Amino acid sequence: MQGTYYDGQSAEGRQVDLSLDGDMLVLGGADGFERRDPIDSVDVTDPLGSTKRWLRFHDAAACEVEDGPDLHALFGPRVRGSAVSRWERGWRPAGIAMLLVLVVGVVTYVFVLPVMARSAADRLPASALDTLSDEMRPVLDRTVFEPTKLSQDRTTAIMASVYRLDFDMALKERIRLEFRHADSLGANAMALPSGAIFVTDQLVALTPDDEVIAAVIAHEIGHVSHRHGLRQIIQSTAVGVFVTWFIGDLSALGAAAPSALLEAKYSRDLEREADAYAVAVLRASGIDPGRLAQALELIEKSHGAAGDGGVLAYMSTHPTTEERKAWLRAQ
Amino acid sequence: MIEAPPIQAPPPVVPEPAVFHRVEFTGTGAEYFRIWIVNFALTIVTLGIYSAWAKVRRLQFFYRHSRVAGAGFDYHANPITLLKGRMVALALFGLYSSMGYVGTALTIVILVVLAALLPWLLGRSLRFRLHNSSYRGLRFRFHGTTKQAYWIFLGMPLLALLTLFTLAPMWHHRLKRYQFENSAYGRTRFRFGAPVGSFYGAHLLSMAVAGGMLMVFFVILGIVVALTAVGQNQPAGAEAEPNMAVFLPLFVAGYIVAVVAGQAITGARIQNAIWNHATLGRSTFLSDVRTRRLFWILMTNLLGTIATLGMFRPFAQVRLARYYASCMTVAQLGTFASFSGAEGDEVAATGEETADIFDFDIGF
Repeated sequence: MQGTYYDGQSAEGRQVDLSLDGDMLVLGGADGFERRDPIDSVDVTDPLGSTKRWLRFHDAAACEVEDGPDLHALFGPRVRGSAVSRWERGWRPAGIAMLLVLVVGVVTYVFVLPVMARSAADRLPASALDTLSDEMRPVLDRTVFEPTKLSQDRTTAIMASVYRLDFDMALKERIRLEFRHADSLGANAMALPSGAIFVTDQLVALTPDDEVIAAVIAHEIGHVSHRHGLRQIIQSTAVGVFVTWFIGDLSALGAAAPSALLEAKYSRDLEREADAYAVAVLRASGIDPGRLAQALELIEKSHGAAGDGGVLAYMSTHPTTEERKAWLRAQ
Repeated sequence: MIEAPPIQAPPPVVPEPAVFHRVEFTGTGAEYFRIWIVNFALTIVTLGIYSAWAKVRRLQFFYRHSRVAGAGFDYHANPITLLKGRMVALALFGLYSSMGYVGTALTIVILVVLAALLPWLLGRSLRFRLHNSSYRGLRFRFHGTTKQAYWIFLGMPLLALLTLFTLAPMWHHRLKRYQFENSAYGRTRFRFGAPVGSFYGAHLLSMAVAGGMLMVFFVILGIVVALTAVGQNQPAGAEAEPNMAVFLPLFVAGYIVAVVAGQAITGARIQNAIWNHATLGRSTFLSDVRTRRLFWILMTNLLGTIATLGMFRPFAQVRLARYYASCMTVAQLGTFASFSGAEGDEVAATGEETADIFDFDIGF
């Protein structure tokens, strides 16, 4: 068989004929070139797709040859190649590999990552939560929040109704209600991992019924109790790293859209968990869980319902209000 | 040994004819897909350990299928060395990810540690990659010094930052110059002659086109939103509420098109500028990457990859490799015998793996 021989000293190649003389591999070329090596001393690279293969000699010399029956005749079974190289060349192994990748991918996304994020978040000391929140608070106050315009009486009344809620005492000590005016957010409430819960004036203005406000806050307490802030950070870091690596040579932006879609599902799951927590707390406190549904309806109305559902449901960070209300009423 | 040259008449000034070699990529997407998916599955099954072996096989696929003058390239890295590098890379990535969550003081410490380590690692990474690459049985070499690495990967980026990125194209130019001028094929050094102006031109045009496209796009989007609002029979004078189900996907699509267009412009222009001004010994290169064609390939690759949940990615990579190869011609002066090798030494893989995970574009 034919090959191209390089001596490793210069880039010049020479066409050689490969043959076997006893257990010696003989490379012979024009103008009397000859090289003899014990055939077992010659390394042959593993087959890889349809690429050519290299014979590597003990000095830096090498010879590029075609893969095929001639090579096998010369070197015998040892150049059949690794199992991996055979799998790489068949469609059936590729199909099995694809199935495995998809199954592991879906299972990791749906079960493994959320469970791991939860256990990691639960293990972090409370001080880490405070550090995290200390970083976020000034940013929020600078960008979206203004001081509250609510009366002292109203905020005190809401605080009292939240205090009457029946939930874990240790958690109760960490919860701090903070009222803020926020035009850009509208009626809304948000929790920081440390236990600070921001309630917007716009939310309070929706209803004179403090129990309805307390129901929303119970949902936020659910976020704090389950350490959703941390879990979200862990999950989106993992998703972001994976998607960026997977999409690879494409732009960072190309990675941003799929990441956002993947993370949105996690976010919706956390919202459902917070709803479930709120239901448990409200019921223990003797308050109708329907109050939360009522709050959601008021909030949605105040935001001027831009028609939930459709394609957008998959991009949304919250389950649709319809779905949440239906679930809450069924409790 | 060098012999004393015999006294002779000056050689006749006849221009030596150059031999032109087209660069070819002989791999196919279907072939690479199977290699990619099998190695990906093995990486998953071994909880990531196999990724080092997978990487060697992936690179070998691309190197061996890249052919010039009837010969392919080859990649020689030892997967075990790569694996050690991956461990270090993972530790550094952990540090990087924890920034911002550990308090200001610790974040600054991490930043300083990374800033101190990364330039050195990136320099080592270039060295490792080239020392493990060969063509016609001869290894490539990288001669960049640690001092240069700190200037290119720390000094210049800081300078670019301080000048509000007006120096960013110059940094890009210096980065490429650092890579090329320090690279060698055997004992023969590459030379880099691309003018800094070509980098400014490419980046400015890219920004202008991407920005212009975004602007036109926003105007069109504004009209679309207004029309859909009218379609919803809103009372006259009511503020048009954008219909998010229409608005959001359109917004993302337009943004992606503009960014990929920008990428295609810088990609094509800079690739051409670099190679059309590069030399290796007495040989030169001709590069003719077309912006429109590159845009089309990048765009369809991105859409295909997203639409198939990533399964198109190996086909996309082969398409791009094929196109880049088809745009390149080597004009060879002198014989292959004039390229000779130098004694080799081993280089740690840590640098290359770190660069890999932080996704720096430092390959060429």
